Amino acid sequence: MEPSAFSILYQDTEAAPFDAGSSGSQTTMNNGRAVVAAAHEVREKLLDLAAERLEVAREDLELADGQVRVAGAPSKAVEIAELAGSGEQLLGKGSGPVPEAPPCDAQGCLGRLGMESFLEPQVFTHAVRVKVDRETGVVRVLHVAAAHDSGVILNRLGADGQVFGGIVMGIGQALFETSQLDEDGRQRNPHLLDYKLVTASDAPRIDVDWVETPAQNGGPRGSKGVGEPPTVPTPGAIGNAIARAVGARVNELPMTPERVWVAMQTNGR
Amino acid sequence: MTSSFVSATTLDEALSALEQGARPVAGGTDLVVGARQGKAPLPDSIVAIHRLDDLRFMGQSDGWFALGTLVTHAEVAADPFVRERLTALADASAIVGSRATRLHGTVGGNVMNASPAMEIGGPLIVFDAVAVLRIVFHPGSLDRTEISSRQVPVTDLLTGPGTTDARPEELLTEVAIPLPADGTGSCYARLEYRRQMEIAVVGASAAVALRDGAVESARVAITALAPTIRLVPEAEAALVGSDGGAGAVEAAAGAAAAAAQPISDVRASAEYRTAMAKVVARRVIGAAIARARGETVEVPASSSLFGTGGGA
Repeated sequence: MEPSAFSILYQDTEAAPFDAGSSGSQTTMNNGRAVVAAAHEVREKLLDLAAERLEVAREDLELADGQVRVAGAPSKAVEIAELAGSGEQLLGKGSGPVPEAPPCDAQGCLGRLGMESFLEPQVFTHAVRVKVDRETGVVRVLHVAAAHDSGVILNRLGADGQVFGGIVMGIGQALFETSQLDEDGRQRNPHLLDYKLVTASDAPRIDVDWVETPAQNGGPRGSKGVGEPPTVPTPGAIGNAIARAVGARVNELPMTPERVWVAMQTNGR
Repeated sequence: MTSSFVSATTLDEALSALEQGARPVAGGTDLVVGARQGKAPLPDSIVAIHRLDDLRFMGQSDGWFALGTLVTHAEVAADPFVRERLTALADASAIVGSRATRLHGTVGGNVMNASPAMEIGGPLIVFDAVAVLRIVFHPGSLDRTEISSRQVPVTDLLTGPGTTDARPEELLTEVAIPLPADGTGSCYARLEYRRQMEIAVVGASAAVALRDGAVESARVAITALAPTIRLVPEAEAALVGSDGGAGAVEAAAGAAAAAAQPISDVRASAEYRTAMAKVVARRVIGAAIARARGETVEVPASSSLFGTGGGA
């Protein structure tokens, strides 16, 4: 069946089962396993219903093209939509098999939530080109190239979007974003005028390439996490590019124009 | 909390409301944003002036270029005469806040908000712009109402951060700029950390008139470097009579930096601002001279002069 044939119901958290939340690069990793398990249960029910309806042995049936049909005799079939509308409840639930993990102390504050997502670490690297104004220290990121191994990519558009967004967040960490506190611990820049986010106009060209090494002990269908990695190497790559460009390393984030300027005054070439 | 809100349809009505203690709002981009940030609560009584279409004009007459108080930054930035002859004002109007700010924010609101970091103040001052303030008065009896006006150079209008020479009952209705001499080039640019939604950390404006290859007159102003945007006569003296070459520009930029009295705040330290004052002033004065010579420096100059315009 095509993805467009499905709709997702966002249900109340009062009714929905708990999970660890959308964090830790484990959303698809965990929910994907649960969806596969739940879908498997629905599949079993569909086979039961179809076997009864078509009066054939369950083992002879297959699911294909939106139908449950007799393998080898596709004309003997019933539409899944028809079964779904038959009044039978087709509910599935599940959380999927937990990947093999070394023993961890589930009594601790972290418990074991999300630990599985670290069993198949993502591997990634970023390269950036920057332009530094030597007189002012203003840095412009011109181009970011990102190569990521997040296992088998389940949804290329969504995965690319994670990288685009993560890189722009990473540029913010590298160059702009910081909470400035006064002596009494009050934030001096508590609004978006002076807590500077990267605007769409500042987003550079971003090229993404995926290295798809199937994960053996990770998420569904050989996938791995993808959410956090794009933010991680971006500030480091920008810092290295600045150091390469002006001969001075800025050892503090964000690398504001003033900090870059100070570093150039001290160590620049 | 605002208890009274009037939307005036005539200047009389607006001025009478001001006389009764109301504060004016046009685009609302400073008043409302400031209130939401906790800078100052919304006034108790507000008179909206955005329907006074008579104050929405822009054009030349009798040797002046006049800007009605309700003209928006986007309209100023797009005006062909402004871009050609008052280029510094186009440089400034094109980079105020965001696109939404420029579509709603007005010349009058920006000037009367009197921020030392406002974009258009420097260009208005280097062009010797004059503010027209209007007020109602009652000759003889309270039943009689007439409107009087006075003119104040913009440089004198701005008296401190957020304060002006205008009385609360006065409304800025117009800003008028004497047409610059032929051969005048001008520029405004600010140091900016990102491309949009930016506020000047350091800014400078210059208007330079050349005759026979020499600087005949010059005006230089600095932005976000003192309690008000201010002229730097020492920088002007360094330019007038020179050939507008690198040496004169460097001397003028040094004078601009020397005139700076910057503060340290969340945006930059005073030390960095002082150092940047020289860099920004040098590039701005250089661009004004280049434009006076007929060379092209794209509007807005901030993008061309500070490498934030993208590209490798």
